[in-house]
Amino acid sequence: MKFNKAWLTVTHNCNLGCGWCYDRNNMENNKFMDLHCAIKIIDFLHEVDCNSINLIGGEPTLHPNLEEIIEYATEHNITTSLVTNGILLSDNEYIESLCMKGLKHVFLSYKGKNNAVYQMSDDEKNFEKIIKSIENIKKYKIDYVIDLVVTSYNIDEIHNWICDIRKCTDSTIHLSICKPAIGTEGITNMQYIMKPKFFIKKFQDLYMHNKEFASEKFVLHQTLPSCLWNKNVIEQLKERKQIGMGCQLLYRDGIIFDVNGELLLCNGLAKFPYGKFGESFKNKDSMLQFYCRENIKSLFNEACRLPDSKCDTCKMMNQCRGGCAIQWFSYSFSQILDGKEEL
Amino acid sequence: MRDIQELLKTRMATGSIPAFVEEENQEDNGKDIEIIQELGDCGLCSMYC
Repeated sequence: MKFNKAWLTVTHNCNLGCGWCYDRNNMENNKFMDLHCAIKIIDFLHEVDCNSINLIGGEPTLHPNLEEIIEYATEHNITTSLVTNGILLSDNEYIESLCMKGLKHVFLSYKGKNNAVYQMSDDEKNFEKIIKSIENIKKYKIDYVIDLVVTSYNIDEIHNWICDIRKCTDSTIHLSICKPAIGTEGITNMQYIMKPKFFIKKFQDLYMHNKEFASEKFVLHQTLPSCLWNKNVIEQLKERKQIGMGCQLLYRDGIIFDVNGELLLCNGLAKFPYGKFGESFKNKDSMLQFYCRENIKSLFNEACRLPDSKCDTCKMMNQCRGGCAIQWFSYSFSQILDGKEEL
Repeated sequence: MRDIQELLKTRMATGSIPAFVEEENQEDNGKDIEIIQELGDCGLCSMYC
């Protein structure tokens, strides 16, 4: 068992209020990961030779000890990446400090110009701050990509967003599709989720007709079943190396810690931990014993169950493994294959 | 624990459980999947931040 990367949700707090975010279920908790807890987790990750941490939220830059967490990880030869809306990175002193502590990479989640997300928050100048933060990231030579989450609300604006981004940076742009946010009452962001065939049809039209998508610095997070795509489009994406995957659950190469050290199968399942660091295990030996338990093996297996029996013999199964495991909470792949899904 | 087990039963997934190549049988565990570009995450994280 080897973890190549870890995710630390350092807070559920956020300075925005995106409707599609799973953490809208958790924001009322007003929680921050305790610094002592973060240090213990980093010690553990060092012990098991995990050398990469993604710091996420909520909005991780709200954590009062973020600099200490980054510094401690860096001292233990663990690379830190920040998944952020970027608003606080517009502050020169703050980003300089994060850089000095060892921050290596930023995933900046871009939400468009004059977007309702920004208007919902307190500060009307948030969009300008994000542009400033991109300038700062470049100034401090931090490796970064721009992430775009496509929802039913913004799918028709994505091309304009990419054109806007290209006015200020030539960084890599990652495009991903909105996935279900699952709270204890069920899926909480259903109105933002597009059905796979709807998204694919829209994306294929955009991709084939706009030169901005042809760049090698554009990458699609391909989390849908490969068989749903037009073969020509998927081949073109592959030829240009524009398809990316990174699901730790399907690869089984990652570990996710929630704010209190709870262990999650996926960040989208934050309300449903399967264990807790410090209780389920606290070092390499006890971790190996924990993950060898039949009930834990069974849990991971069930989470990775393929969406339909046709996947069992599909030649493309090794490309997609049926796609993102949690999307099948919101719709049935069998119904899509049967042509019962409405666009 | 029971909660997550119960929740997983509500997934509309009816296929089999794919064989997973254990660590001792491969250099990098989990990498039996054909990867075009390995990204830092699946894109889900950017929904949160």
